[in-house]
Amino acid sequence: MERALGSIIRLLWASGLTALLLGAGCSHSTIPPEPPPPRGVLNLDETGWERLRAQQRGRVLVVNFWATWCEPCREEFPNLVRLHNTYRSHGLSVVAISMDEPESVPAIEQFLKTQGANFGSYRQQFKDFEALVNSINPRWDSSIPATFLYDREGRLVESWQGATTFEEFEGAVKPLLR
Amino acid sequence: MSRIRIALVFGLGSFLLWSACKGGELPAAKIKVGEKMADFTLRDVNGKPHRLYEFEGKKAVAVIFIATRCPYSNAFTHVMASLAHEYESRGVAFIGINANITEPVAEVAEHARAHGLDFLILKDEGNQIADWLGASGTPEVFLMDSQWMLRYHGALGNSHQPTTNSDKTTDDEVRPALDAVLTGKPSSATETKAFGCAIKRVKTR
Repeated sequence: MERALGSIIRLLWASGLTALLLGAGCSHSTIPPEPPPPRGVLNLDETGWERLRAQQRGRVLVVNFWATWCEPCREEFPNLVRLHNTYRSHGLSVVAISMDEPESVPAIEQFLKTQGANFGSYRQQFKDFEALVNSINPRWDSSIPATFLYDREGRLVESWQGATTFEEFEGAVKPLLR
Repeated sequence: MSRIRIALVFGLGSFLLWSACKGGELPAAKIKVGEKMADFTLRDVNGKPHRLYEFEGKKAVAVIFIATRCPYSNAFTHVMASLAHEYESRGVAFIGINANITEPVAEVAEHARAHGLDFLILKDEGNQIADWLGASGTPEVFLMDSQWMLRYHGALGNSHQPTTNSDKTTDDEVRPALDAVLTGKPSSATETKAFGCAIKRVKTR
């Protein structure tokens, strides 16, 4: 009985050590500043997507796919704005990627203005959207709204499809900011 | 005893960090390509019940989840209408299913009439069939052969470059699958991403 207990304790200590190592891998002593959001709504292709991800390395990143005509997207948007305003100084960046057509850029800009969104906003112009979807998360059925959470190392931590609440976002984001 | 407590804390920490660092999970489609589609019953826009298997004897059956208010689905209505018209004479039945809780049956009927969707349109109240099949958005097609085996699941077209512009929408992804089923040849693609609007489901929480 005592030997078994001893084995369990050794196992837990070992997993604790693993936790420390993982913790070292998941945490940063310094948080890079939030890259300034581009002015206006830029087109985003595969190269721009990779560049954007690289620029945000070291910060926790939330990426939201939406469209002006998408009602649940519009309903969800204030939660993203609130999330960004609450945690940007703690190392959180938010990026919105619109699925609208090119002629809808004024509508996108107007919507962002009324929402008070102060983060990077893009319009998708991917050459192969299906490939991009599969590269982000093969389980994403590509419908919107869809939101993806990356940790400081750029690893996908959480995926949401459908309108998501502030509390759901916050619950997943907060542990990554510690 | 304190050693056990500290060890438990470390163990719990390990689990939490593992949880925090793992990739996100999303539900997968329920029916897989190559599996047999079971029969189901839904009511049409006039309230009349229809079984899927009443199309027994067709060379293929295409079930398309559609919407009245989704710009992506609406950009494809002319594609659906022309495909149904063209392939009906070749033994293919088209069935539209509206599973959006936000779109009442009268609206679905009017939408079908206005857009020339003259194939059978069913209303999936409570999105039970959408859940059962794992349908997630609109437009999204499930194509079965004469033995009810699922042969293709995904987009009508344009999944690589999604658009709400009806001038740009095509049938470039479902057409090869339809032709493959009709000729008994393997399809080059059996699964694609059906980009569109999420089905507006009843709240489950």
